[in-house]
Amino acid sequence: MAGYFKKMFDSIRTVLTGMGITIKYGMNSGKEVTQQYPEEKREPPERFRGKLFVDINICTGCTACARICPVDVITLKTVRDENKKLRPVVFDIDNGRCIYCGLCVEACPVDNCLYFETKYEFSAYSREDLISHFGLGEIKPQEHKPEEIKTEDKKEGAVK
Amino acid sequence: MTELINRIISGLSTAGPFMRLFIIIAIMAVSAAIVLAIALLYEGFATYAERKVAGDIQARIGPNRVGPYGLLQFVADGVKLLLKEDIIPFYADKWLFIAAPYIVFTASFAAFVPLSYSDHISVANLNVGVLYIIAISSVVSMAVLMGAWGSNNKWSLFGGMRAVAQIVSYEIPIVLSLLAALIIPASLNMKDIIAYQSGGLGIFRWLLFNNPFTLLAFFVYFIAAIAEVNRTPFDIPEAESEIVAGYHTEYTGMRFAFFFMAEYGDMFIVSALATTLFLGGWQIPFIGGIAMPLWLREVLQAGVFFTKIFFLIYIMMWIRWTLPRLRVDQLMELCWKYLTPIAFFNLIGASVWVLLLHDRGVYDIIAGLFVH
Repeated sequence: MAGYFKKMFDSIRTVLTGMGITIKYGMNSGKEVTQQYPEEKREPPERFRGKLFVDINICTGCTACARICPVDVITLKTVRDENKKLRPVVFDIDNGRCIYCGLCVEACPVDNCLYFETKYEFSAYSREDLISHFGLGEIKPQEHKPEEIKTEDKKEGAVK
Repeated sequence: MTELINRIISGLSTAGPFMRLFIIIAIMAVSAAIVLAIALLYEGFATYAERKVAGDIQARIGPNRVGPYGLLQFVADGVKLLLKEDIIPFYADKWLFIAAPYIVFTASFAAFVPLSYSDHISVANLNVGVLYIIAISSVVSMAVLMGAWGSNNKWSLFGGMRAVAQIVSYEIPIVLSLLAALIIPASLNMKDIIAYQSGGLGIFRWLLFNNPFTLLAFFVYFIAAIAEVNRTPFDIPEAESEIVAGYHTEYTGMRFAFFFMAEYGDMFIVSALATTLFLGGWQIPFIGGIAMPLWLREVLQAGVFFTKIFFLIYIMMWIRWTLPRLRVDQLMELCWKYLTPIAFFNLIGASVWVLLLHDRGVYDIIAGLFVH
């Protein structure tokens, strides 16, 4: 009989304890942890692995990144210019296949040439649109200014 | 409303018998339409409130996209449910399957009829109001079993059997605890019960405070009522982690929505019954004694009545988002080993109290000390 009443009081006590905890949150509207994503965006951390970016003007065309990539994301084609230096004419990164392992960034011998941006919104309507084109093209790089390269990239449908 | 009807009928006494019948039917249809509209609007906002309360308790936001503060979410949900494919399983018992949601919804809606919303507003002033509500809401369990059997699905059948076992079991503590309160006003008429609770600043003569037994009876009633409307922690008939969705597993679109709306309608009914019997119904607290125009009094009374109901519904939602689901054996143990004996004890205690103290409650006794 004592156990009967003890069970009853225990259950009432535990139910009230639980309800006390929930009402603390229930009455605390305005302290939601939800982030309304498209309206308010989370600031990614400094070393966040977002979209890959290449500073094509300092790229030496060594193809270290393309060779170390485990999923063959990087397509790199180089030609020698008149100074006998390697110039990357095609530098495509297929973001749809990238696994964000970071091996290419580690392999790149030039500082701040190939690195991850903190950008993470680059969805597209087709898989081709996910490929970013960084290559300088077949035309000699001396005749180009960076702005013109950008417009040319847009024509090709690069998503940046 | 009945008085209004009577006035119209007496005014039209010159009309022929067929004309009079037509007018009565027309008035019935209009009042039913009004109550149905209010009930559906309440059910819409109740689903919104449920999701908002859940969001608050879980430190989320809840619906906030459709309309201001997401208030029109239920419209979007309704349109979505209307556009869903209406599936009747090939091996289902078609008549039972089709009839079940309508019977569930009709039974749930019919229980709105005898409620007394204020001094003069009620659809039908039944002299057996409480009995009527208990009886008509029991029809739900039959319809649930119809739908469960008609679905020809093992999860549905399990859910239906559980639902019937649960509802039939919990009817007993519900009725016994209601009786403990009902023997004091000695009436089954909703309006009479509320009128009995007038005075005492509109609070202290509530049947809840009449004697210790009715206080206990209220809690027994409320726990059993949550079980009767199949809400968490007593939602084993539709336990989604055990038996998919229980008795409405096979239902889609509006047929499913009928079950859903019936659940929220039942919540309203059990809360309204608790409000009427224990919490003083539409008695306005504190300022009830002040003279005021009739329309203002009626509006205030209806407001007080709905506020009390919504408070109880909020508590139901609060419990839902706090407690985990009971097992079947725990559910039966709670009903038969705890609630039913307590309810019997209450009934006997309340009867003895009424017999010995001649209908006087705790407040009457204390007030009597000062008068003498």
